[in-house]
Amino acid sequence: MEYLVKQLLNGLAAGSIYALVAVGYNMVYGILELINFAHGDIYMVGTFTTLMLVWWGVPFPLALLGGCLSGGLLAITAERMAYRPVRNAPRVVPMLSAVGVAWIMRNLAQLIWGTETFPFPEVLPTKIIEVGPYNINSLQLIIFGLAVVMMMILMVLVKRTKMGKAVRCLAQDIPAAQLMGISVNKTIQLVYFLGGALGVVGGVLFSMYYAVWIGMGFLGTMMAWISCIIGGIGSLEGALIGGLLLGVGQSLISGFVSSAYRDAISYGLIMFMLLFKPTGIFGRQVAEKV
Amino acid sequence: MTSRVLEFINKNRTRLLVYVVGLAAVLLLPLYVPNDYVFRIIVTVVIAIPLALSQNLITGYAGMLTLGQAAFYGIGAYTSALLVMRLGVAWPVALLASGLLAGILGILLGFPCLRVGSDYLTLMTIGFGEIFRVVALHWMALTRGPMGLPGVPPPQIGPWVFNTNTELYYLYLVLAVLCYFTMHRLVNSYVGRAFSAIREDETAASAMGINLAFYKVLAFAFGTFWAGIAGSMLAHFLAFVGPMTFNMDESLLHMQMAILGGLGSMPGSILGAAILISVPQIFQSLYEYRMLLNGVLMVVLMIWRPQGILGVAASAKATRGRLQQWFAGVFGKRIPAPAVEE
Repeated sequence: MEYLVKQLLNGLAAGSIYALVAVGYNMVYGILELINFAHGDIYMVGTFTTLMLVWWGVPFPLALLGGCLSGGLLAITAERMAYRPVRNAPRVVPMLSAVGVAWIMRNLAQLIWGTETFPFPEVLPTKIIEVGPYNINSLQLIIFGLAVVMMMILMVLVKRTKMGKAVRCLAQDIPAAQLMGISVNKTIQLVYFLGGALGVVGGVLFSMYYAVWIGMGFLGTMMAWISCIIGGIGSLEGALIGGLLLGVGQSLISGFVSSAYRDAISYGLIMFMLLFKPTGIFGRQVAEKV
Repeated sequence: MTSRVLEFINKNRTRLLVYVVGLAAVLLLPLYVPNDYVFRIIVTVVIAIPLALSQNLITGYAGMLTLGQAAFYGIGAYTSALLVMRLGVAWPVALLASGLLAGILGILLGFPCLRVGSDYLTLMTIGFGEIFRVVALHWMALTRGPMGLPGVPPPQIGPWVFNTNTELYYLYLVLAVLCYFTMHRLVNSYVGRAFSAIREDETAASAMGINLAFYKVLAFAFGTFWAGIAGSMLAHFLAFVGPMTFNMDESLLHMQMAILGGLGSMPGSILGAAILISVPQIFQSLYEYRMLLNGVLMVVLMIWRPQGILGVAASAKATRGRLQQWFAGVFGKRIPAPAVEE
């Protein structure tokens, strides 16, 4: 029982990180239907930036802000240079362009920081809190809390503000939104910025939990994508629930079935799930235009 | 009769000349190779041809974005190596078996992929690739995990052992030509036209009476079969099979070969394979920047010529001046649009 609770807590912490990374991914996915292979590598660079700033003695909140800014700006740059020129091309084209961006980012990061794995300095308190028979790591609580707060802010932003309305309009129909006077390019830029910045928050939390290394980018892209598909494409709640489910599921599998085959089993389960619920839990049922 | 042959030759003189010179060059290539290192790169290119072609068949002709070809490549390699080393099966049987096993697994993966839309299909194929990689890495009894399988014997047909580069080159060339020939027959038949119809518009295709499920699975079966064959070729060439070869980056490389040469162009796939295998070897001093250059190549190609080098453009005007437009857009300079003739 204690082991189960421990695994659940681990899963929730990992899942809330996945959710943070997935949200930005899902917003872009919902609007442009672009499988953004570079999302993870952009947050990886942002996380490394945060790490560097912390090394240089910048206080952690400022460093995180700097990291988020760099992530957001990188995402915008990638959008302007590589995605926007091919936005109206067949779907495989922007996707491969994103693969190119991912490779560029990964190689640049490797040239700057090498292939080592760095531990993230302890900037947040990691105390063990005892609740009855259970031990809870305070870091897990902070990660979970921070993720929930960020998601709340984002949801208010998207659901309650004029800016958010523009984002939702674009997700429905880009030409119609343009006709209504919404600046398509600016709104898409905003979405990329938010997605990149939130991704960095997720990446920093992730690296506090595990470590910082080059490969975390690709891992993040895949986890974000899977979270979106479990939760439903284009849905914020979906990304949240999908991320949490993925985290808890993975943690339970590695705790009770096999940690070596964890990824294989979770991929298998997702492929199985897609057979019965191909639109995810909160997915929109869209009639195909003919 | 003779006059008709002469007339045919006269009519297609340049074309025939190109064919004859090309054929001679390919057949006499081993005479001109300066050293073993270059020769091994050339054999690697020959192995990559079926890979690029099969990716092109599934993605370029049938329009399905699969990113799991490396898994079938790996399945072929492991099957062939294990059959020959553990069970003592003759090489031609093992070759065929590795293709068939990859093809059967491809069909099995193809069926669930029918039920889902394009992005889910990509994810499913990536998922399959990851499952294969994890299993190959952890199933110690069968694959020896990260240690891999060293000492795979060279191909052998009856008493003939193909262990020099020249012999391997000719043997694999035959297989690659066979692959090209069968795929060429396939895509230029009614099957190929059905593939294109599905790629262009699934709804319209099924309204025309094309059985979507059958043709999609067929494309998968055929593409994965040849990926498996290529895997077997690789295993007996390198004399080693390890799980690290068959990862997501390998799948992306296959996709890149098909795209660079041109989706829907079979000579293009060969060109793509040749460029992407040999160029990184030529610029080995730039090894550290390999992915960076690859990424830049990919982005530039997508912006400038998304249909690939030998692919057919939707319109010639569309490609002209694309890079200038990009510069103008990104750096805010106004460059007058290039004059269009006609």
